[in-house]
Amino acid sequence: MTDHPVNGLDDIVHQRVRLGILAIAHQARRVEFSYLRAELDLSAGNLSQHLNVLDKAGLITIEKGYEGKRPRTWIQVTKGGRRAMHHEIATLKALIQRLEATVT
Amino acid sequence: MVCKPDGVTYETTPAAGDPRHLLTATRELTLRVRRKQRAAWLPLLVFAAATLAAIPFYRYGHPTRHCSSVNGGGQVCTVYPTLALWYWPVALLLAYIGISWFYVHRARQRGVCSRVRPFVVFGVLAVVLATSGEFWSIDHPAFLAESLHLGPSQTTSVLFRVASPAGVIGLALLWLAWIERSWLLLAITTVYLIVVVIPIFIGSITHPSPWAFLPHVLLGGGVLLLGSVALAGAQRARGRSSA
Repeated sequence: MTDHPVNGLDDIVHQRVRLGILAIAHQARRVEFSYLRAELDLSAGNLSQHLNVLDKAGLITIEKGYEGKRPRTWIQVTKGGRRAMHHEIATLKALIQRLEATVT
Repeated sequence: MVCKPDGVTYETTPAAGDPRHLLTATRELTLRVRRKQRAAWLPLLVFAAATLAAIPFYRYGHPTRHCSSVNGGGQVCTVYPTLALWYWPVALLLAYIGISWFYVHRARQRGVCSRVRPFVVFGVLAVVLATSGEFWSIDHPAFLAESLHLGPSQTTSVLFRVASPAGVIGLALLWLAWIERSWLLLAITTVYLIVVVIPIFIGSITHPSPWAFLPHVLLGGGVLLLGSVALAGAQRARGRSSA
């Protein structure tokens, strides 16, 4: 293992949709499934798969319930999820810096 | 090509694995969520209404004088409008309950919550502290004059205005501007704080007009009201341009 920033990338978080889910859930205190679907323009099945990956990794919590007769699924980012997202963004920035330094 | 509103692609594109693209897309998503969460026009409107509704309490609430003796003879007195003193904590606490309800209701409707809780907690704590401080200072004018040397000076006046209900509203709005990352709200709050902290007098000190409070209340309420309209307008314009 070298100290190259690419080694710091987390396979779970370093995925466009999952990073997007974490970014949205981090900004909002809680976010609803349908909001995520609309923002990320995904099918329900596709989004569910990504949510399961994040949930299994302990990066988000999923809360299912009802509001009146409407089923609602709320997603909340965990402390670990917040840490993972910050780490990913810092790594991406370091990677960009490294790439720019290599090019120039 | 997906996320149409801001022209940022979020699904599979040839450059999607590029760290720059990933960072830009994440930043754009965050900004879009922030814009959807913003609703500071409502707190401004509620505070403007509370400010303007205070007018009869200032005008018709009979002023009360509380005096105490100081060392070396003489007395120090505080004069305060009794009804307004009780009006503000009740009005502000009701305002925060209303604002919380609005944000929760909006979050349920839109499916995205906002971090408004710190603003409400800060606001309620500030109201409780400022009200306790005000009641305490009314009961201990001698302590303020002798121990803290708070005489009738410009500094004392500014200090009391910052701790006044209007000042407390301003401080809470600064906090909201930070939470919503809104430069416009920050600018409005700065203007509001300048207006409510700088003293304005009409009439004379010896024979003050019963309406002496009015310019301050109207200016403060007016800035909040105009600010609310400006924020709502800006939000609507942004919503139209991104649609």
